[in-house]
Amino acid sequence: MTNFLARLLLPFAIWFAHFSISYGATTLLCSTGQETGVHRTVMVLATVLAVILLIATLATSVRVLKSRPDRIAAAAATGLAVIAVIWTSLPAVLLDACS
Amino acid sequence: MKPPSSLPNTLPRPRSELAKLKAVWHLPSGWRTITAVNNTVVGYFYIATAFLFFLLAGILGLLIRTQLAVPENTFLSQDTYNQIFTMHGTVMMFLFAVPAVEAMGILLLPQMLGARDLPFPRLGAFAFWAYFVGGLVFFSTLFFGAAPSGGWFMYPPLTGMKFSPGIGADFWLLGIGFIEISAIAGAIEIIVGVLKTRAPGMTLTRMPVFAWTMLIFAGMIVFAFPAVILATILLELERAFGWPFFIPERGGDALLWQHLFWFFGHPEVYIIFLPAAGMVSMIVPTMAGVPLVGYRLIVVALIATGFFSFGLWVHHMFTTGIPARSLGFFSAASMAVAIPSGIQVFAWIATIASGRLKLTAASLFVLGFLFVFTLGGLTGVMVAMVPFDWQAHDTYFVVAHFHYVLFGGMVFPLFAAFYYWAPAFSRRQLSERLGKWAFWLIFIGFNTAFLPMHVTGLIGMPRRVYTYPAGLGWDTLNMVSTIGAFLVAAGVLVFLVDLVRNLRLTNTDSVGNVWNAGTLEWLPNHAFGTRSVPFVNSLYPIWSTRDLARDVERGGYFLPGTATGSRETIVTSAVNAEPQYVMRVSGPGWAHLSAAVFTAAFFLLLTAKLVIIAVACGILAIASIFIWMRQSDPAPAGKAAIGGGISLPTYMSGPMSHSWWAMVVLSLVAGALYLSYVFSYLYLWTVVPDVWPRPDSLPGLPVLAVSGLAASAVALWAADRCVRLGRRGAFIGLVAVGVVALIASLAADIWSQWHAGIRPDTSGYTAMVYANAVLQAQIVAAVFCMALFAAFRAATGRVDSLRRVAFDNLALFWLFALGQGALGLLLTHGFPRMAAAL
Repeated sequence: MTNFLARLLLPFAIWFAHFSISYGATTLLCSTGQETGVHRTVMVLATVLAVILLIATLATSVRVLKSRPDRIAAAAATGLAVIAVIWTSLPAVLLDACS
Repeated sequence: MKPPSSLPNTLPRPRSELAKLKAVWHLPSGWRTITAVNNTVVGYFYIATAFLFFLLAGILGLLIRTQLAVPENTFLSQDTYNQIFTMHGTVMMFLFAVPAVEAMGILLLPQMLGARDLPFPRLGAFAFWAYFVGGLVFFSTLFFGAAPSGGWFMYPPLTGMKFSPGIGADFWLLGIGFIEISAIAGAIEIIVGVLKTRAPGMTLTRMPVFAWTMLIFAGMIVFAFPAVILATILLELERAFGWPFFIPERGGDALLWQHLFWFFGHPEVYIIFLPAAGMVSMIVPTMAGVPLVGYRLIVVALIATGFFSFGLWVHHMFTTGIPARSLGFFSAASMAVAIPSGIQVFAWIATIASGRLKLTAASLFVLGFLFVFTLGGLTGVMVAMVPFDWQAHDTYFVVAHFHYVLFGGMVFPLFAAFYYWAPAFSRRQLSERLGKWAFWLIFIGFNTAFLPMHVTGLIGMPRRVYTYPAGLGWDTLNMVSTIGAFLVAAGVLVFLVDLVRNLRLTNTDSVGNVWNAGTLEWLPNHAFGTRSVPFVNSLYPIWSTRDLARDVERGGYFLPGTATGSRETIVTSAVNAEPQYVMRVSGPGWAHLSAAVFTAAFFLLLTAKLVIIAVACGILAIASIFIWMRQSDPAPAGKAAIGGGISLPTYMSGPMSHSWWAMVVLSLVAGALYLSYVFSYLYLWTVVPDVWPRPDSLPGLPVLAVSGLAASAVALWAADRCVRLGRRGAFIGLVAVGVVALIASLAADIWSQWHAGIRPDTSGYTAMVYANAVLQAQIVAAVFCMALFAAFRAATGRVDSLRRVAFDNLALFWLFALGQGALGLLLTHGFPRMAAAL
């Protein structure tokens, strides 16, 4: 049961961490006048890392959770978080920095 | 926990058992009713007050619409109009919407969870009375021309001293800041209540969706409200003492307010919407006669919405000139939140489709909600797109959008909830005929009022104008909107007539389960909740357990009487709902009431610059809280048998205790407040790095302050040892030394900054340095009061190795003060040095 709650919360916590780090890093890099390439590299790395973490979370959820409805719920949470991570990263990767 | 094979308690129960239970939970009558703390009584007060503010703010809305009905109208003056639209928004958001859903939680949760009451009844009552007094005084400023007029979001520089020199803005800042504190008190009550007082067997996956939404609602309050509290503190410091946080020419930034306000303001929309969605998730299955489709997916969607809502705040700032990357970032996040919202809408539609919906008044309001809220959601996706937002921003399109979201997403479900749950609390059911009249008038009126506003906005009418010239194409649309607003008012009037004619609140003989609902709040209820606490084996226990209502009422389930002779409820584990201990809850009293009144008076008198009387009220408030606390934390009373062979302790300290959880949540609130400060500090640095000092103009390394913190930490550790060993005298001495060291650390830091020539009113940077001290001083003051209380308890023999809640609570907050102190020193002394090295 404790796992169930954790498995629901974890994907969104990863999304929030990715969001905060990406936004914070972007702001800091802009304010210190870094190149656009640096921004993109940071964003891509953060996004890839977040997606890997989410997939790993899902893999362990499937292994740990006993009931099928719980697994589906955990998969749905992970799926939503993956979509949100990628979706919010896209403009940051595609647009010019600090413009 | 395994379901009991037979009823946990033998039947029939002794007659004296019920009589004793009734006597212990007896409600004060007459004028003493105001001292009552039962969740039902406080819930009624809360809902009535919130509804009163809805009516008052609605009347203000009608005044606005009357003024705008025709061009060049002189019904209201410009300044009065500004005050009225500011108060309309402020009252609706802060005094109606959040308190109304909090009230529904306080009223419904204990019954729904199978608890006798929430864990801190006096805290709930305190939150209500603080809100009641503060809200009424705040509203009455309108009658004295002293109401704020800077819009409900109070953007500086308009609300700075230069452009708003009166006390209206101060009333907003201190009044709303105070009411937010009351909301946080309610949120702590709800979080601990939902996690720790569920009936045995009610695991998280058997918890009603409404309880989930209230848990998420309260969690969001914990993290969102501190941002606006910090914003109000900073702006009030700027207005009162000239600390320039938001004045660009002195190294501040006006956009900092918008960041802080919307970091609260956007989650606020979901804080209001999620509990309303929870109510819908309770009503739809009952009215359709089938379990909710996709329960787990709805829970996932609720959690997702709660998280995502914290990543959207900048979408209120698309026209402020922020970088394109931020625009894209937050635009995408704004669209992403549509997915979990969509999951919920489709789950409700699927539930309706899989059953046979009874077309009651409650169902009509739910259907109205689905229609109106979905339209609001669609226009939400439109304004999430930056190019469209640039066109529609600050026009009536946005006014239409957020009324569709908020009225559709919260007011319609609330009316549905009134019609749905009234039979559980009233001797008479509300009239279905009047309810349907009310629905159609409100539904037609709402769409007549707000649908044309989309067009009014798209053809260019800006918000917040008190009149407009004829011939711009806005005349007819505005008149139609005004007619619609009065239709809504007529619908609300019909609802009021229904309430007066039919609502007869009761704690003993309500109409009961007229809808054949499946959740626990529909069991026969009394002032103490259900006669015995049921075992929960499914999401809809009344549907799944035969004769549950009868057996519960006869006392066959857990705790059918009072085990210790006082008010009690069963505390269970947070996830699996395993019984842990029997908690004694507080009864009626005056202390929490006077604490609320004096706290409200402190804030309001401070606004009116009556400092000496305000300080006196502050002292009286603290004294009242001491009296209130003195009556809490009763001594252990052995074990209590609750039935089924289960014997539980009657006292608990440490991580299993409800008060420990409350202190953890309070520390999270304080942590969120401080993180908002850290964000503000770093934000200002990114915007105006020039005002950050060079290392040579900084004070020396804070050796004294760090030593103070270290000494305080050692004293805390040693005090803990003394509690374990029962050394009362040494304990009191160590607490005193520790707190003095904490105060000395803060004083040393302030002195070092002052000594280095840093003054708070010089620049945004210096203001931030002293704001850190203000925040730390608040925490230290709280630790000081708690230490005084713990020392008093120890001196009177009420703190020992077993009965140690007073010290545990102090220790948790003390640790927080140490952590915040250390982080503050790192930020104000370390960061400028690091930034200079970059």
